[in-house]
Amino acid sequence: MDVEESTINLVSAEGDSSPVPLSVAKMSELVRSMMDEEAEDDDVKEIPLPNVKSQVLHKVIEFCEHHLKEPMTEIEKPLKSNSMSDVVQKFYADFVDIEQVLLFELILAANYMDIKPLLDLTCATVASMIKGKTPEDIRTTFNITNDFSPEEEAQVREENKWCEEA
Amino acid sequence: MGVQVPTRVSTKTHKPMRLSAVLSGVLLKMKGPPCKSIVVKKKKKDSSGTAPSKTTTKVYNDLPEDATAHILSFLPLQQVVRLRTLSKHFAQAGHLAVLEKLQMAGFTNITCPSDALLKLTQPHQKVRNWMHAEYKGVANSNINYNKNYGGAVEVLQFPIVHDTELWDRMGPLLNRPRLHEKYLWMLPDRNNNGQEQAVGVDLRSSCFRVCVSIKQCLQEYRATLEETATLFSDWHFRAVDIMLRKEVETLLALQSQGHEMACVAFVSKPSTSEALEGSIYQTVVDAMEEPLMKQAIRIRGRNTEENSSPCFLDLARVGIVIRVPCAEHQSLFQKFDTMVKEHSRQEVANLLNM
Repeated sequence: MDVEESTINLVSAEGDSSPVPLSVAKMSELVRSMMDEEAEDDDVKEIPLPNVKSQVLHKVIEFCEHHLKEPMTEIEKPLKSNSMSDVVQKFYADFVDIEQVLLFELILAANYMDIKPLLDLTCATVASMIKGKTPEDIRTTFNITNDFSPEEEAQVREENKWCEEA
Repeated sequence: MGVQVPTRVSTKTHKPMRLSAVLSGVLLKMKGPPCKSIVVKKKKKDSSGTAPSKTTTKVYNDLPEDATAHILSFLPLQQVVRLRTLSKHFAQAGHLAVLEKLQMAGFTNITCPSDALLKLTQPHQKVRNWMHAEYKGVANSNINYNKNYGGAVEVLQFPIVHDTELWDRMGPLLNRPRLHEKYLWMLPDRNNNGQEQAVGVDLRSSCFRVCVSIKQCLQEYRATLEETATLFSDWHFRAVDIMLRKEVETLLALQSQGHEMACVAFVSKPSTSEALEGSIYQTVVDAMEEPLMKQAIRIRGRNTEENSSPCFLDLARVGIVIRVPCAEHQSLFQKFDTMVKEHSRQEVANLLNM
């Protein structure tokens, strides 16, 4: 007879509580360490995640659940393709085919909760959007402000000269 | 029982935001606590008595530098370096990304000053200028590299030293800046007073290793060959070409496998075999913390047992190239020397082609 796995509630920024199996929750090093710290307290029922919104936490749980069933292929560096479907399995490529705002919130969540495969996937996805573009392309496309002083910028450009001459 | 996905998901909807807005807000924040929300209020368009424009609030998330560095680490090294010009945030994150790449190449015990790490991957103009200014006009030399055919190798591998007396001996090289610039950019450092200088390498031990961008290394080799073709007679060029070719092939193989960085260990002083052995040993001992270098011990040991004297120890599988110009090179040059004395240049060329 299968023994039902214990669950723990992950509580989002909005206070929404999501019960998840321990094996799923412990994919987060943050959760794992918090549980270890509270090990003496047998009655740990929930972990507050005040930096993670409900919508994002939902996606994080979806990722972790699937990762336990089908671990994500390790992403090669540097990326071989601009298409994530060439890099990871279909589920994961579809998983990050989302609005960019949510994608960045997932990066923050993965970073905060310390879930390496999710951080790899989301960061690689952003990298795939940048790959092959020149700094000027990226600056224009993403409206990035140059905050260097003229002297600082000149120095960086000088340091990079070898790269530009390549 | 399966996992119950919470049904009470926040009803707040995320207004689609352009990546440009996200990146400009997210990636430009240089410092500050992770996950901090920044509220940006849109300026009112006018201050007339008409109703003020609706204040639009955008919530920007703030990526920490290490997360940006993680993004950059998925890009080729050259693009990472180029993106450093975008902003201070990218400059710092790019630095971290290079560090990550170094660590991926097996450098788990890097203790260099943080700002030196980037210099490992790029020529360092300040050091270069310092060198030129410091030693401009030094003409005398105790080294006649043309007399010592092994010197062709030594010149190409001439290390940078602290001992200023030794700089005098490098005088002739000053007219051929590329030859010694070749290593200047690889070995920048700071002394105890924070002044920039080259990493000190004692000629007597004359052993050092650097982590290099493979692409950059290949460019250096190409430059070296071009320089050699100008400076030396064609048979010298041919000899250097032969020596570098194996290394280039190894680097190309590494590059094709997706490696961007390689450790290149240089050991000079081919005429002093004991010192050479000691240098190799010291290099390996110094690198004991690096698992990749343990492979070097094994391979070196194997070759020693076989009583061979390898010029190149190729560790393509683990991303390391070790160049050891040793007795084999010495004999190669002696052989060329003899050939040159006894044969015409064309005959030598024909022999080499065979």
